[in-house]
Amino acid sequence: MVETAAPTIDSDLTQVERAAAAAELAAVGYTAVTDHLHVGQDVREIAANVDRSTRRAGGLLGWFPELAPGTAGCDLVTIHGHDPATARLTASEPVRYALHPLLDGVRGYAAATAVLSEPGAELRAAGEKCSAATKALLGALQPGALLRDAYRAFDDAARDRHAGCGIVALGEPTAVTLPRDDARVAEPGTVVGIRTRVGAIEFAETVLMTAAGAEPLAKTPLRLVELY
Amino acid sequence: MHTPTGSRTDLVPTADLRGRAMPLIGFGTHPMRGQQATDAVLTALSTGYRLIDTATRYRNEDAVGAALAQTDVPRSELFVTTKMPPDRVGLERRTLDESLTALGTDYVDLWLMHWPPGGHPGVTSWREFIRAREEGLVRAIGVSNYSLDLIDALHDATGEYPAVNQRQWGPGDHDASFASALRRRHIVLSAHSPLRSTDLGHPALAEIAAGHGSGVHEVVVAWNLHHGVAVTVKSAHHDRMLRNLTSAAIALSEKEVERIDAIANGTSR
Repeated sequence: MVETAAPTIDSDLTQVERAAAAAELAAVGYTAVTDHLHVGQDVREIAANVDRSTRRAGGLLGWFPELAPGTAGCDLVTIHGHDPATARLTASEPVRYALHPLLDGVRGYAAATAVLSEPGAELRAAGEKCSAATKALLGALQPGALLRDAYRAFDDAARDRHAGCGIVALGEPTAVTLPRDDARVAEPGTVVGIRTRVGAIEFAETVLMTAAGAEPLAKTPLRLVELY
Repeated sequence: MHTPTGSRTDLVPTADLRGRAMPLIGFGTHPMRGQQATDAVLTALSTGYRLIDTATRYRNEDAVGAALAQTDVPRSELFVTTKMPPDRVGLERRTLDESLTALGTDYVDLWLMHWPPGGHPGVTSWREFIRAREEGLVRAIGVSNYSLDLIDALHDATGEYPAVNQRQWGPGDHDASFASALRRRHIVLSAHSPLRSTDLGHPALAEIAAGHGSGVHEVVVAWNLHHGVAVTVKSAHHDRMLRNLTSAAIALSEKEVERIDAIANGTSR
């Protein structure tokens, strides 16, 4: 049942074209990482490449507030999975990278996970589970649906204590992860970020709500990227 | 759509892609999309271009396909290149099917591996590329942004060299030994972003351009053609498209070529 009285997400998020352009910038950053991933690569060089590519595409700054332990990068890209002693990528660790550029003050968001050697069965299974649960989350983000039901859809699909997700309000002045019991509804024209994780796998997307449902804007792969 | 006279098209030299002629000047479509891309491709075709370069990653194959559907240039006279991004390893056939559907064609003339996946040669993908060629879905297969070591690794694993290696290449990138090594393997070097790494204000380029009554951009294209290097140029503007295409008429002397070659190592005067 749709709770029509529930408040909608910040109306600033309805600037669809600007949001699409910001998401496109995240996709540019995704490409700048993915094309240059290889064993031994210094993550500082990846960050520099993202900076160059993003600037060339019209971007300048980033917005991500989180700098968790073990993270490397700049304010445009955050990378996990490198050897902390050398800042270099290894064949054994999956690489998680989040792109979080700003374009004229509008946030773009994307994240992907890649492996540089054939993954073990456990990691591959985590990737498949995260993909399926992310798909369930996106499927539940229907016009008028409660955000908390989208959270529940992810949980039901993942059924994993190492899984989690967030729906992120990307509007000004700060980006915040909306609470899991959020009683607001997603309405066409609004843009949110989604972030999902199962074990070592992480995805994120910039999502536009349309009358037909959730439309990914950055269109980065919501699956484990296998590069070998 | 108006079909051009063949004169400007005929200016463009071709490379022998193992029995298939590849125009050495192509029209690059990145980063255009939508109607802008469709209009630009139609203008390029009417200007005389016959090689259209796109990629899955450009997200404009549908727009290029719309232009291919509208032009009255026969498909047999066109050379369509597209590329598979590295994150589609394991999804090669699906990626190609999506490209063919978006482009509205039964085959592409050249299918490239856009980047070495994870810095690896991508042998499993290369085997799928060979299979697609054998099934007639692509006429030729190649790579982009590959080193010689990676190219040799593909050959060692499959017995097949790529027909083309597309990479950033201009006077600022010139490496005679690399170009020579590709030639020995019968691989056509294809230049993208031919101006990116080049100092367009370099006196050698300016003087040579002035001597031919042309612009520096056209001299860079002509220099590539002199070396048998394919060039992908991009512009949404007809006049610029035309100037790039007519670069083929600029005949550089050996001395001029040597001066431009020397720009990369800083010895050109």
